[in-house]
Amino acid sequence: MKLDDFNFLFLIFSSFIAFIYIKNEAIRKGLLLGVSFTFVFSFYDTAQQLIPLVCFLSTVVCAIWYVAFRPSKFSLAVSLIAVVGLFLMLKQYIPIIKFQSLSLITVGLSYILFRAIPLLIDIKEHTINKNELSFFNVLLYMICFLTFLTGPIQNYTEFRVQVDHNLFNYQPRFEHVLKMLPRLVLGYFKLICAAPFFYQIYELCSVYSDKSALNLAIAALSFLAYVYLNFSGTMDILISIGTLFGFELPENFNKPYLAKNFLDIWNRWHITLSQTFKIYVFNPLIRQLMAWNLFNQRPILAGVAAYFFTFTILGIWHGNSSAFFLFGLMLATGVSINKIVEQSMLNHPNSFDNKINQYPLYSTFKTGIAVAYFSIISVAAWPVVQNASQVFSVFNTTKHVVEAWLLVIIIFAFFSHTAQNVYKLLNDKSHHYLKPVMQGIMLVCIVAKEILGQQEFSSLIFYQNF
Amino acid sequence: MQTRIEIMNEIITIIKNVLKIEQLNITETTIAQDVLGWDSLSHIVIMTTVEKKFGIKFKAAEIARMKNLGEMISAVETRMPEKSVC
Repeated sequence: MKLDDFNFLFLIFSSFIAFIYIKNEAIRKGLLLGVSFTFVFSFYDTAQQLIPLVCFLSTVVCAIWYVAFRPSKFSLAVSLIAVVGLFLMLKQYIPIIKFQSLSLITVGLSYILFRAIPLLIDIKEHTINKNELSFFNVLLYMICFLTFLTGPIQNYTEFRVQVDHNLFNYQPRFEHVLKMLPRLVLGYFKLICAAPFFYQIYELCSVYSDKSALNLAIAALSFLAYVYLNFSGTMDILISIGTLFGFELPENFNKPYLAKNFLDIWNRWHITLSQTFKIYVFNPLIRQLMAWNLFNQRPILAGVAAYFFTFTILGIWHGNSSAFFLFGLMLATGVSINKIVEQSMLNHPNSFDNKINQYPLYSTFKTGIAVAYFSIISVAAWPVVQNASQVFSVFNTTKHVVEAWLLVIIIFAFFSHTAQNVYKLLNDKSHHYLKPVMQGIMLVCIVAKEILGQQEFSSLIFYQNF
Repeated sequence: MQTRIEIMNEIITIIKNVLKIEQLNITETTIAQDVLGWDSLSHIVIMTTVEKKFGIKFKAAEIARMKNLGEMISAVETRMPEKSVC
């Protein structure tokens, strides 16, 4: 069931109406779980295909209760090995079991993993107590229809508090629908109209054209725009639908196109995943490294080592091909160079960079460098690229990549400047009519696309790895 | 048992050493973004040094939750009796 499927909208709005009239806690519980199961089951054709999900969920639940009743380093280690090991097997990182239709039957497992690991660590560290766990809350936390497919990765405690509040106190009203509609329309516009538009440009420039630097630049930027619009559109839809059921999901994007540098992109892009990696992978690793003499007096060196470990894991998490391993290494290289340069600027307050930093054109240029790097290395995530050697074949020569990089900076600077002006205009109080007009146009585009342009474009292209 | 002021002074010294700055105007409500160079890497290095200095250990989620210097001092204060009991 895709988010732009009529069945999904019917399921959501009929459940919302039921939620308005049902006050009983047990029935509300059942309804939330029922909607989630209906959503999850829609990805499977046969009961047999459910086996990986059922096995993984059972292992996760057993691990959680094992750590809850025996909180120790040993129980945590055993649980993490069991959960991560099973995940690696099911997702074919360790191909012991072969599946015929891998993409669909393991859908959602990646996000379950990154809800399970923090939960296990928090239970072991007594951040979450045993009495805060209930089978219903844990099961709903793992498969909730709002977060099953793409996150955001919400903290268990926040989720539990919201669920418990919703079951007892939340009073849904029709005003909630009116309030969430603008963001819902924006989300569907991004998902149905804007993202496919950029995907088609990417396809035109990457698959059907010659390998010129301009084509690489346009394809790279279009693919990044597609991923951003697809993913942030999905978040807009899920966050606005969440408000109907009293959920306040965390934001996953904060204008990444305004990032000050490549490191800052990770504070603004897929925020909940970045935070999870920071808290449960990067930070513990730094704490371990700082205990060694080699790193004790060299925090930047410890940082670079931890960046390489963390971003390589992040890259591999996106998919089990060598292209994603390379993607992780290139991400790590980017953030490491960024950190070293940033540190040297701090050590030299009178540097050229610090003097001209306040000029908007220079800031846009710096953002452009970061966005260009991100878009060029995202070649590794292109659907046509299957392994690391194909990444290098797209890059062709170093000169070719440098030219493409410069072109992306120029194209990005132009569009970023235009977009910021449009944004200012839309938020200008003297043009208060513009926003509703834009929302109306977006709605017309969505309806027109749904009625006229039913093409074989699936938003699942992006999700199938997760 | 150290007082809150003493703990604060110790932490400020650690922050100055990690960020390599001599002058630091900081209060209990100061957040990381207010101090130049206090990013996520510096933050975890500061926390690790604080742990070592006071002989305590923070929880993973707790480090991320600390919003300002005041919360950091409170977290150290709550750990100190645990240490003295041990």
